Amino acid sequence: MRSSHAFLGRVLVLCYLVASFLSSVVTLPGSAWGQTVSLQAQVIYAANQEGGVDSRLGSLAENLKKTFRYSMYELLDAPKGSVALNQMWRTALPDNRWLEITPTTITDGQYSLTVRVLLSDGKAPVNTVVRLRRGSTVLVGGPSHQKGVLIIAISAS
Amino acid sequence: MPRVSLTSKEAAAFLPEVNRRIDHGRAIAARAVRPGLREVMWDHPRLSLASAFTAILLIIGLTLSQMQMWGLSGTTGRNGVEILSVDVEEDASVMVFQAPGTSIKVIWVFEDTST
Repeated sequence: MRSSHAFLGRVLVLCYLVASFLSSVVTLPGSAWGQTVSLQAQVIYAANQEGGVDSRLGSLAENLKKTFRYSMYELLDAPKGSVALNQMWRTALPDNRWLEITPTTITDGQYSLTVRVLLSDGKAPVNTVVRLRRGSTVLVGGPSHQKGVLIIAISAS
Repeated sequence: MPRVSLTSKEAAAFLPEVNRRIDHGRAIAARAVRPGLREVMWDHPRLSLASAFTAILLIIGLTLSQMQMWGLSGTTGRNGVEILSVDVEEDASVMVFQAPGTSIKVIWVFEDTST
């Protein structure tokens, strides 16, 4: 009787060990397996003219005001999309420009993204790779637009 | 003692039926007694506690992994952004900076205005 209990106990312990191992293998890097990356871009027009700060920018507005010296920030567009790893997400920017983002890896909740801003002639003056933590934002700015510039806030989740 | 009389048919079936019942009893006795789950748990309190602890750890691990909390102290900075590389075309200029007092990194592209 005692030996059968001991055997059952060993089997249970073994099952837990196997389950623990499998769960750690499957769940920790699992976020990168076949998952899509949700991308969000906020296309902001910044200029020194009247207009103030667009209330739709939310918490980003404070960071913009601290970082730049423009008097007006207007949210032009806020495209969103979901793509699989190594698939390109493309969205139109003003003045026949394009924003291309390709998520390449997800490691420990951090997203590596290749970001390109294409000009109207198809040239990409800058090709950058950034690593973003979930919910963090990186700004790509500088392309001229009307009397000011475009600032693109990019985040991934 | 009352006299019992059997027909020849009943007498022929009597002994085999007795043997069948004896064999059936032996088979039941030989069958292993399976302890119930409750009995196993009460007899092995340490095993039960270890099981509960392991289950809690698994649930916490699954929850954290789904929330992707493992990488909080990863290679990205305090603001969660790291610029790994910036490739610039020949006629373009780029500045990467972070304004003091803010948590946002900026990649600033200077367009070539000569064209």
